[in-house]
Amino acid sequence: MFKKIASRATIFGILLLTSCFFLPSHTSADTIFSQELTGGTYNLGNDGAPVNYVGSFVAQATSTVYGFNMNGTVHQATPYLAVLSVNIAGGSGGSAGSTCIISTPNTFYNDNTYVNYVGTTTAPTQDRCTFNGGQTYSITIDYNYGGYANNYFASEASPLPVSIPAFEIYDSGGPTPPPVNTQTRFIEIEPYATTTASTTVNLNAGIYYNSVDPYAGYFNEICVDLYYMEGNFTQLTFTPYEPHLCMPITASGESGVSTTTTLLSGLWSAVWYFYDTDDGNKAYSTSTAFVVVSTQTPPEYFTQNPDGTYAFNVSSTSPMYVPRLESCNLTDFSFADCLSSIVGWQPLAMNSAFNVFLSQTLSYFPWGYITRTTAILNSPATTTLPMLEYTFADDFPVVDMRNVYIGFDFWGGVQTAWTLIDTEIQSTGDDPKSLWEIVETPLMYLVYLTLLFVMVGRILQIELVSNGTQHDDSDRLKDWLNKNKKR
Amino acid sequence: MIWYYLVLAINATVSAIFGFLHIPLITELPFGIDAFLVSAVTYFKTFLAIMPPFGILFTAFMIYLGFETTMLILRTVRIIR
Repeated sequence: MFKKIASRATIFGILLLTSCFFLPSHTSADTIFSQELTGGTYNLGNDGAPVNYVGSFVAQATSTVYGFNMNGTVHQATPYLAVLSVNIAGGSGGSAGSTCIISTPNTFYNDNTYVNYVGTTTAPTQDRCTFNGGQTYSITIDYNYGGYANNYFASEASPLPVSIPAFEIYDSGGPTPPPVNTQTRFIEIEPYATTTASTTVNLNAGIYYNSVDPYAGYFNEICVDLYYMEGNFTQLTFTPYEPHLCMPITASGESGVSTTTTLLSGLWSAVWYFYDTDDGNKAYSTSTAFVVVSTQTPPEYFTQNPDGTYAFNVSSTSPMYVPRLESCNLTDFSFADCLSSIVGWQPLAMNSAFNVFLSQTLSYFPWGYITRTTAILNSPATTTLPMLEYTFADDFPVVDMRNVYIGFDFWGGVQTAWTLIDTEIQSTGDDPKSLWEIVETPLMYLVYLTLLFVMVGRILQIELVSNGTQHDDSDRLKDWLNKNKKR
Repeated sequence: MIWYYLVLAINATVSAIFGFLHIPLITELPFGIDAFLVSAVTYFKTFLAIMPPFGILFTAFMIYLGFETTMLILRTVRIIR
């Protein structure tokens, strides 16, 4: 039976792997790029082929208005990040009438494009603009492909009352944009690590939520657990802060959540995670440690920077965290702390050391092949399963079919069907459950009990071998019968 | 700390020796197997994610394969027959 199963598994494996060779790996070959924004539709060319759109907008507020906002959608097979510089001209009065250049990094995503700038009403600089109400301005947006910058919260800072029905936008001819990570994740969290905050702490998180992610599509809240940390860097104690702070996820794609709480001064750690209120699952947690400072005496875990702010000497949440050995110095000797720092098992430090060991020693020939294979097999990455697609040739005999594209998204259909079973079809009653929630447990019992019976059946067929002589029950029975016959 | 530096010392020693002997550091599998395996694994994990019942069956199958392999080893070393 084992051989039969093994041979069938081999055939299945060969078919699966062969399909990976021959099925196309991309559902779209071109990086066609288009953009729709409020007030109009704008098309961007591919690399090096700028498409300009010249437009204007009318500031709808008084000269105290100093920001703008554009919302739209980028349709692109592979989304990307962009860094924007924005030039606003025209109108009269205010800095926008002369050279109002906003050069600030922003982000583009394939959903919910935000281009935000928030300035102040103080003396305008090169990156601050004022608009006069009722005036017409033109805007030029220069985007360059680049990395993400920490300006996400600018979009949350204040209302942005200026509408932009039209503007100019052109392709700067940069390289092919790298794909954006559309995985559900935290983009950034605030307070940042090793920063200081007042006793009234603003907790903000910029997230990317992929609602169709088969792993993360079920999370519906962003939660943050706060811990007050005491002790020293070799032995910290964490006291959880109640209540846990949770905020609902309101949108797919990029969004932000924020809340405010009051904390005692001291050393705090914030652990952020996505939360599924139905199943209690948590995922994608990340954490920062920060200092809350009040007028009281500051805690002992940080030092004061020259600019007056406070910061940690060493981040206790850093994966490269190494316990300090200062307690072994004669001037500040502590036997317990010194001994602990020398022979104690420091999980974070050891994790770091083993990662180095894995990436270097265990990566040498020949066992590096095993390390690499294990790394690939352990990778949680998923990808879109390929479509079956075909484009008829230019010289196809049937004229109407020439260059016609046909595609069949089998796996998309499977996923849609599974969504029906998993979420859409629900039982009626006070506690409705989906079809899969009802069937999952019985199915698991059925499969594993069957497996148990098969394994027990196989074990009962075992005959033990001892002293190099093989015996079985029939041999022993024959011996016993022969002995009794002689008597 | 002693364990931390012990691991780093072993790593540094092995790296120095192996580097001196020009033993290659393996960053990817040869003959295009790496890219092939990565795509195969990601496809397969996506399939498991969009079809959880298959995950249950696959897990059970892997347990059974492990069991049979153990039996085969015990039979080979003549502990059972």
